[in-house]
Amino acid sequence: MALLQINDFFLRYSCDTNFSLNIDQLLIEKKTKTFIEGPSGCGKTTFLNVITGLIKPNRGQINVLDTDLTTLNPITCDQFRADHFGIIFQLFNLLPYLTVIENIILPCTFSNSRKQKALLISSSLEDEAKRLCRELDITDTLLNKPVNQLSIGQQQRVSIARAIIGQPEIIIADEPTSALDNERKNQFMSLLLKECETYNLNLIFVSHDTSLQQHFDTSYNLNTLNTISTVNTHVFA
Amino acid sequence: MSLLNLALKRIFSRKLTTILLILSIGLSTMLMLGVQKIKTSAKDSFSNSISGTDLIIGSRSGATQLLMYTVFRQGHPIATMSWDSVEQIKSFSEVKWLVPMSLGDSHRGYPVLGTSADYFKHYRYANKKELMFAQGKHFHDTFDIVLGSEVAEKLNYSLNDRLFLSHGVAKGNLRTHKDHAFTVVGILKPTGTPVDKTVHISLQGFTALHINWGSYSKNKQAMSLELHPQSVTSCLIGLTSKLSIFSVQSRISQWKAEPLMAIIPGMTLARLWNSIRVIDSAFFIITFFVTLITFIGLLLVQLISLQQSKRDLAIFRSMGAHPFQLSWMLILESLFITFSGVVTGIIIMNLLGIVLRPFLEDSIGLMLSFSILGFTEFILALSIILFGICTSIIPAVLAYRKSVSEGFISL
Repeated sequence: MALLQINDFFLRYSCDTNFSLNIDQLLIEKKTKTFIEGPSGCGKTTFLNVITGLIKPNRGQINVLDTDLTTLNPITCDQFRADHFGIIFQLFNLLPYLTVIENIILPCTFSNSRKQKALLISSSLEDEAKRLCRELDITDTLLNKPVNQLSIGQQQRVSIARAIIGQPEIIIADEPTSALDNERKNQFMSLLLKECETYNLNLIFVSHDTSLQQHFDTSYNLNTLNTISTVNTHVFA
Repeated sequence: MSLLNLALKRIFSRKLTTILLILSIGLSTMLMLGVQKIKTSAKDSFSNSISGTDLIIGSRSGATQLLMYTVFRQGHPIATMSWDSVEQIKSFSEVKWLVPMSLGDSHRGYPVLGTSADYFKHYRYANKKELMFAQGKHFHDTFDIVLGSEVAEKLNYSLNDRLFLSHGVAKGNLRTHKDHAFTVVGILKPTGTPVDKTVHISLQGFTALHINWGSYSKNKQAMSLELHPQSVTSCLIGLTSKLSIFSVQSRISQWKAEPLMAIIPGMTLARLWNSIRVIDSAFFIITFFVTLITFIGLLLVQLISLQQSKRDLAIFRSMGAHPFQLSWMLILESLFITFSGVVTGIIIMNLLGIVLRPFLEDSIGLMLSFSILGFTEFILALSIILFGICTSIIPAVLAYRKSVSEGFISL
C-alpha cells in the first residue's frame, strides 16, 4: 500500500517563474523511512509544502494514504495534515511562551484524532506528554519550564515528542540536523529512528546532508526527481 | 489546549505591550464613559431639581439666570421684586399657590432661603416628590430654621441647635448677623437636589435680619417690629389650570409697576440643556477621537506583532491550523485586550467618581449618580469592545490571506 504517490506533478510559483518542480512519478511505500536529499534551493521545502497539502500544484495528483490532496477543500486538507502528519522543523521551532508540556501537546489542539489516540494510551494529554518525555529522557524538572531555558539536546527531544504525540502516520523532518554538530546529529538521528520504530511511524526526512542517507530504507534526490529543474546542482548517485 | 488558551499565552508573552494597551484603552474608556456619566448626572440633577411648579417669577433679567439662582442657588439676581407685586400676583384667580423666595444670605457657605411655610407644602422635586422631614417640623416662629439634609450632616447640627447667619453669599470673611440667633426646628430628608444644601428660614426671619441692618437689634426687639418684607428675590407659582400658563406669563411680562418676567421651569431647563449640549457634543467628539487614536495604536501593535509572530503562525499552520483558526485567535487576543481595557476604564472611572464626588458637589453642585454603569454607558462600553473586535479584523484578514498564499513551512 502506498504512503505517498505522486503522478504527473507540476508546480511553478506565480511570483518566481524561474523555479518549477516537475515530478512525473514518485511512489513511497508504507512502513519505510525515506530520505529526500538535494542542495539548497532545489525545492525541498516546496516538496514538503506540496505533500502536506499546504501548496496546491498547477497540475497532477498527490495521493497520501490513498487520499488525493488536490481534490480536498482547504479545511479538509488542513484537517488531514493535522491528523496524519507530525512535523520536525529545521530549528525545532518550539514556542518560547509555552512550557515543555504545552509545546508537546500543541498538535492535539488542531487534531481531534491525534488527541483521541493520545488519550487511548494515557488518561490525559499532559500524562501522555509526560510519558513521552520519560521515554525521551526529558527529566521531570524541565516539564514546566519555558522551552528557551532548554539546551539544544533537550529541545531536540521535545520537538520529537511534539511530532509523535497522537502517533500520526507520517513524520516529516525538514533538515532538523543542519545546525547540529556531529555528536548531536547522531544523538538526534538515533532517537528519532528509535521512536519511529517503536510506534511504527513512516518517516520522510529531508536534508542536504548525504551522510545521513545510511539510516534510511530508500532515498531520492530531488534534482533527479525534478525533470525540468532549472537549478544546476549536484545529483546524488 | 484551546485556541483561547493559546491566545492568552501569546498575549502574556508580550506583557509590557499588553499592559500599556489595556491602560490606554482603559483611559479612553474612562474618558468616554466619564463624559457620559457627568452628562447623565447633570441632566438628572437639573431635571430632578424642580417639578410641579408652573412658573417662576422674578425681576426681568435672563431666563437662565432666574432659574439658576432660584432653583440652583447659583449666581445673583440683578434686582428684587416688590412685595406689592407679590401680593397682586397672588390674588390672580388663576394662581393656586405662590411661594415667595428671598436669597442673599448664607451660613458657613450654604445659601439661606427666606420663604413661607407653603414652600414645604408645594415644592416638588424629581417625579413630583414632596419634601419630607427627617426630624422636627417646618418653621412657625420668626427665628426658627429648617436645614437641608447635607447642611445638617456636614455641619453636624441637630434639633434645637442655635446658629447665626451671615450677610451675603460670597466666600471669605462675611459679616455675621450676631444679633439674631436661629433655632433648628426641622431637618429635611435627602432629595439629591440643591434643597439639601439650603438653610431655610421664614420670610419674617429674613426680614428681621435686615431691619436696621448695621445697627444693633436683638431677637425680641425685632419681633416687636412689623416684619412684612419689602421685596423678595423671586416666587414659585402653581396655577389652577395648565392652560393659563401662557396668559399669566404674558401678564407678568407686561407688568407695569416694575419690570418682571415669568419663566416655565421645564422649558428653561430644556433650553439650558440644549445650550450645554454643544459643549457635551464637543467633549464626546474629542473622546471619540481619543478612542480612535487608541485603537489605531492597537491596530499598529497587532500589525507589528503579526510580523513578529509570522513564525508562530507558520508553526500552527503546518500543524494543521486552518487560516480561520489563526484569524479567530488574533480576534480573541484583541477581544481580551479590549475587554480588559474597558473593565479597567470602568474601574478607574468609578474610583475617580468616588474621589471627585465631594469636590464636584461642592464646587459646581453636580451630584454624580451612584450607578456603576448606566444603560447608555453600558451601550458605549459594548461599542468600544465591538470597535476593538472590528479593528482586529484587519490583521486577522491579513493573517488569513498570508497563511493561505504562503506555505509557511519554510522556517
